[in-house]
Amino acid sequence: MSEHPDTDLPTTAPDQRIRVAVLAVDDSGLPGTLAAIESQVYGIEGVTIVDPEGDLTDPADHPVVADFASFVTELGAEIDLVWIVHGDARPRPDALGALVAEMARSDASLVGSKVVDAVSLDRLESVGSATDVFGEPYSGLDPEEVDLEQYDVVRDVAFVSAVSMLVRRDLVRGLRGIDPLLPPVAAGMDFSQRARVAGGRVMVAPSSEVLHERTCRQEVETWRELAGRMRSMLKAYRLITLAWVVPIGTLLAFVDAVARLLLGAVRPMGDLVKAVGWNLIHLPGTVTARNSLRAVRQVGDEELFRYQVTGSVRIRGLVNDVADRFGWVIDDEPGVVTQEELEDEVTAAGPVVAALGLVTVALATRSFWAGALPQSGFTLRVAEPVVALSGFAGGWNPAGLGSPEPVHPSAAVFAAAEWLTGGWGGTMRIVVGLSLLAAFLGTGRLLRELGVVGPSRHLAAIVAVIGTGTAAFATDSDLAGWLAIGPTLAAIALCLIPWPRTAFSRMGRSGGLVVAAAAASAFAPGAAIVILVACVTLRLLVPGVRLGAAVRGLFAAGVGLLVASPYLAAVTVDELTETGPLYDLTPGLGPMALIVVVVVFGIAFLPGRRHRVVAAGGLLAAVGVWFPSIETPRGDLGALVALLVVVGLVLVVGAAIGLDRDGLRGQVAGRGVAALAAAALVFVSAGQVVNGRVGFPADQWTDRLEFTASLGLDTDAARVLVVGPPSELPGEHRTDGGVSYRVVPLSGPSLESARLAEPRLGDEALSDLVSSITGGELVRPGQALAEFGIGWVAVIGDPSFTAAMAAQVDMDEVPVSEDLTVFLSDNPAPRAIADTGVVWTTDGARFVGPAASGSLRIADNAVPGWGPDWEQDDWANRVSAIDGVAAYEPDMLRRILAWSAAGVFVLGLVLLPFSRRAKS
Amino acid sequence: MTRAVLVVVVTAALVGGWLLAPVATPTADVPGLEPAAPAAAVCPIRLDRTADGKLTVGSTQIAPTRITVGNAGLTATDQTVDVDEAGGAAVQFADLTTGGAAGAFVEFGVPAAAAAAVSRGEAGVTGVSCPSLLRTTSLIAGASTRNGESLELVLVNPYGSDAVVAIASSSEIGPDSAEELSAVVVPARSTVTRNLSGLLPLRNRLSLAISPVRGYVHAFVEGAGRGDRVVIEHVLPRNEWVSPVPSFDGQEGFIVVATASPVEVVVRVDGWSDGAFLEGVFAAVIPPRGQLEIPFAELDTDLDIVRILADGPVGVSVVVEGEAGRGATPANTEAFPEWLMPGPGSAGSVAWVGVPGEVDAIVEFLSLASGGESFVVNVPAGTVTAVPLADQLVGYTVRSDSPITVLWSVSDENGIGLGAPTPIPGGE
Repeated sequence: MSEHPDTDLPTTAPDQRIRVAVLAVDDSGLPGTLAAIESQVYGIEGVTIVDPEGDLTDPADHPVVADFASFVTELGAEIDLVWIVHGDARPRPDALGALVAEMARSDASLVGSKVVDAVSLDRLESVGSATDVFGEPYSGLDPEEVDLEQYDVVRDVAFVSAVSMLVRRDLVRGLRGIDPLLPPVAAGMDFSQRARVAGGRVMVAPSSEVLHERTCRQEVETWRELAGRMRSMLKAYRLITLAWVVPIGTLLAFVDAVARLLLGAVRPMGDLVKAVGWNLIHLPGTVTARNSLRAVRQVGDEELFRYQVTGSVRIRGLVNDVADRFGWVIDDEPGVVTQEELEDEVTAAGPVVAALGLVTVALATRSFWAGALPQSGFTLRVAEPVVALSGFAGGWNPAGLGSPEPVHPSAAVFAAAEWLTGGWGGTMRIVVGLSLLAAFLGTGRLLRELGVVGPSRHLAAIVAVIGTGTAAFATDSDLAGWLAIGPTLAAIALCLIPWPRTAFSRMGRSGGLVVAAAAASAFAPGAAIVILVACVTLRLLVPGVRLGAAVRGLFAAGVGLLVASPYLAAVTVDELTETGPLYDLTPGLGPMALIVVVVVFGIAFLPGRRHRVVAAGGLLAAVGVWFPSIETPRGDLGALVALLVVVGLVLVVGAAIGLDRDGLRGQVAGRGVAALAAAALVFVSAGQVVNGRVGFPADQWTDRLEFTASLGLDTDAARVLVVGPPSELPGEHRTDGGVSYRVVPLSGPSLESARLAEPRLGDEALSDLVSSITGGELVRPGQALAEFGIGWVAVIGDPSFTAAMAAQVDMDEVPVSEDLTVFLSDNPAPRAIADTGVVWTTDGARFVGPAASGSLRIADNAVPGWGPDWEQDDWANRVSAIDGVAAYEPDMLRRILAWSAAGVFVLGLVLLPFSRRAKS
Repeated sequence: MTRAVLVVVVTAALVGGWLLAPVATPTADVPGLEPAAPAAAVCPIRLDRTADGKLTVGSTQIAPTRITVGNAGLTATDQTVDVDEAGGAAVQFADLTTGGAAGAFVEFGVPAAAAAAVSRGEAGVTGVSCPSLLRTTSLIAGASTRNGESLELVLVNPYGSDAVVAIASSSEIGPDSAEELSAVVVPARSTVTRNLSGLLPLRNRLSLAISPVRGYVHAFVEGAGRGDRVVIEHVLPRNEWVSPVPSFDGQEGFIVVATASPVEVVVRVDGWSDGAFLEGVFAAVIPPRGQLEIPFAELDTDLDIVRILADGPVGVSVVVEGEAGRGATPANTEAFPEWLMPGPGSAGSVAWVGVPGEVDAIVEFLSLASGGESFVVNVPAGTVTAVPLADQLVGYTVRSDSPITVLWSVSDENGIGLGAPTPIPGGE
């Protein structure tokens, strides 16, 4: 026994005969690698250099082969093991010994070393990695993570680094060595996966430490690694797995590339194209390799799935990048992959569920993306952002015949977005997309904070977005209420996350909470209360939820109420409860039975905190189920209750779905019943895929009044009286004389005009007029309607009103479409006309025209705020035309509140990036 | 234990709430109230070298009346006439149209108002009470397309919507109709005519049922030939009609009953003769969508007043024909104490006043012309009195202390025109 030249360790007598294959990388590093190999404590049989380029200089005259296949062919039968080492690696003297020892101890077939950066000496490069089902590697390491021996645990991994790995000779012969076409990381993954499929055990032995100069990584394009991973996947999986992995993986890769393209990164898309092209070119070789592997395959793909992480690493990375960009703190950072986590999360169901969830929601909302948002009910575009914002901030509300009542905050949000984007057509789609993203991320993080992990979180997100409770928002097509779901869930999640310790993190978290609560309350003012109620309920019922969550819920509610304060300060309780969209909160017998089964079995049998989560969710949902027996769920109060139902069902479903095998047989069966019922609820929710609009009605109003532009060129008409069944009318309506109707601007219904205020003088006069028309008493309705600025009557499927209009003489019936009968008035019907007969035009929220000494009649409800020199003219307004401008004096308190709300929201946005800074 | 409590509480909350939730009941389609007819009427006006006339308006209050005449979708004439304190106004046809057949749309300023059109000329004399809007199937009874006669259907659509009407006809040979009449399109603000004597020739008695398919029209028939012209307006079918029997020397009188009912209709005629009420002087069955002509001469008794009762809706016209000319008008739907009677007042005008009751009536004729003469007539119960009317151009308001039935006629050497006044329900 001789002393080792560089260490105090003696060279051990080898039990295994080992041949070393050095994969040549460059000239400069090779001597160092060879020296390190020579200095190994564990003895070797010899070294062969694999040099595809054939340009290396080996001072020691080791055998050199051109490819790994030649090396394998030349391996003698006396060789037991092969140590594959990169030519830029510096194995520590005991590295090989540790590999051999671990291989023997664990009966492994392939053992890899811990790889540490040779320059910094303490930065971890690899300590074995997992992959997702699509072949994306997931090391669990931070980019600059220092080796503090925190991962020094021997364990099974999906793959080990090809920088240093010890493999049995028979296995390396059976697998025909390393794929020469693949770059370093992909090659390691490929070889590891094939080894596992061949029945081998793949492990990492952190006690075997190798320094790596990373020369092999130089000049290796990212797309080559991507292409290599694709090839590895194509070789390793069975066809039945490839049948779904390839399309979904391609879709996810494409989504990722497109998203990154939108974020300004062009390269991912190029890499994807190159990688796919490369694989197409090399497909024959890949097929050959698959056939070769089939000869030695011992296990199914399930064995690969065991060592894969849930979900898509690519999408997780994308979400984190996006979140980082906006400073969100929604989901966990990729952390350390411990043995326990791997065992918990290593399941192939995750990516499938996540992909299915995304595909389901994408299909269920496809009408939102394929074209313009379907306009119906309360889902309408903002026609004039400035008017909407002014109306929210104390100005004139143009809805119907106008009023000083505030425009709903949701209209203000959309108006602000439209204003900021310059009226870009995709604005509402972006808002929808952000809300959906918030719903998915918020649901995931909310449930995780409540101890729910795994794929059920994705299923709960489906219920959040398109579920039974969500359908309530489709009753009257309340898109804004539906959009409140995402930020509401995100706000609740942010309330539940423990309060960070650093000041920066706290600022960032506060910013996130402000933004989420503000957005939720802007879409549905009741969301502020929902956040508070949910936090308090969870605090009271679920162990581990701290008092701080309720306190943060209170803070979020305060922020939400402040944001909605310009609206809330001016509306009455009746308006909050009796006007606005209707919500059908009573589930059918089937869904109700499923909910009850989930609740009963979930509370009775689910382990840990999860049964309390189900109980909390059940109670929140019960509020919504009770409510219709007390009052018709309508307006902002209805939206509040509907949101409670959604949050409740998310908690119930998210906590109940899961496969829990621990415990008594009866308990497992009970959990299974709860999980099945919850899954059935998800399945029922997925029925919205058929509709493609989340159950919302089909588009009814896009371009429907376009005829007014082409047929009414010579008219001064400002408004259209729309008559029809309530379900067909845009926004809110009035009913008189058995006829449902509403007044809309000539440009069509708009979100800012969707909700009607309490009837005023003009509304009552119009009501009488409509009754007269319905009663058949009026021969010249056009003349009477012109007083209201109404030049058109559009009748949708109301034959009785059409019949009534058929017996009048001053409105021409114009054929438009089968379901729409239109009457055009012979009379000029301006909204504002001066004594001189000159029609004044709108300029934002005011009227402008030639200055004159007379007066101007404004055919809006009489309200003293108009000026200059306002006088009441019957039910209308009359002001002086002397200035050439007529405007409504806004309510200054509401204007100040509106600015405050905007300020709070902007402050939240400003604070958001601090969370990122804190992380960095 | 905690789990059990939670299960009970949460489940009870969910199930209880669900059970208490109001059951959504499907909302039944509540039929809307039948729209009222607007305070307006349409008068058939014809101006040619053989005929001129005047349109007269009677009203219970002072109010401006707007008269428009549509032509090919446009408003050709639009003028407003003032009803004076006497309640009447008159406009010559020549002021409304330049020629041909047209319909004048008369918008009354008040609900209690009526209009009539009287035409005189070499070709004959006509009188017609201008009908207001009829929204359902209406009937015209008593026309004819005998040899030597022409008959034209005049459909007036003064409204803003195009109209389509389906017209069925019946004659002495039963329901018979022309395909060309199954769907007649009448454009907005237009008048459309159809030559019935060409489409349905040689009918001794011809009745029409006019059914609106979409939109509305005002329908008339205008007959000519045999020395006189006749205009009959459409009416809504009813189960009961009443009318005085006008008698002209040498003229025959008829009642023509028509129905649009798809089933047989049993008709009974009662009457008053010399003050006595005679029940069931005639009875017959009208075939589905058929008509029935009842000559007064064939009734056993000379009746002063007739009352037609039917077990289905029918339309009834009173027709007089003879050497002096021919006239026809729908009968009264019931007896009223007060009538607006624009139209008569020119030379040869007579009001036929019957009292279908047991109490004599004191009937007051109030001229609709300013400065016109008003007078009182006593009409015995169960009789009819022919009241000659002074030449006051406009017409009268007829008031009685008991319900009366009234027709009016205008006649001269060129012919006879018959018309029916408009009742004022409840009086004004």
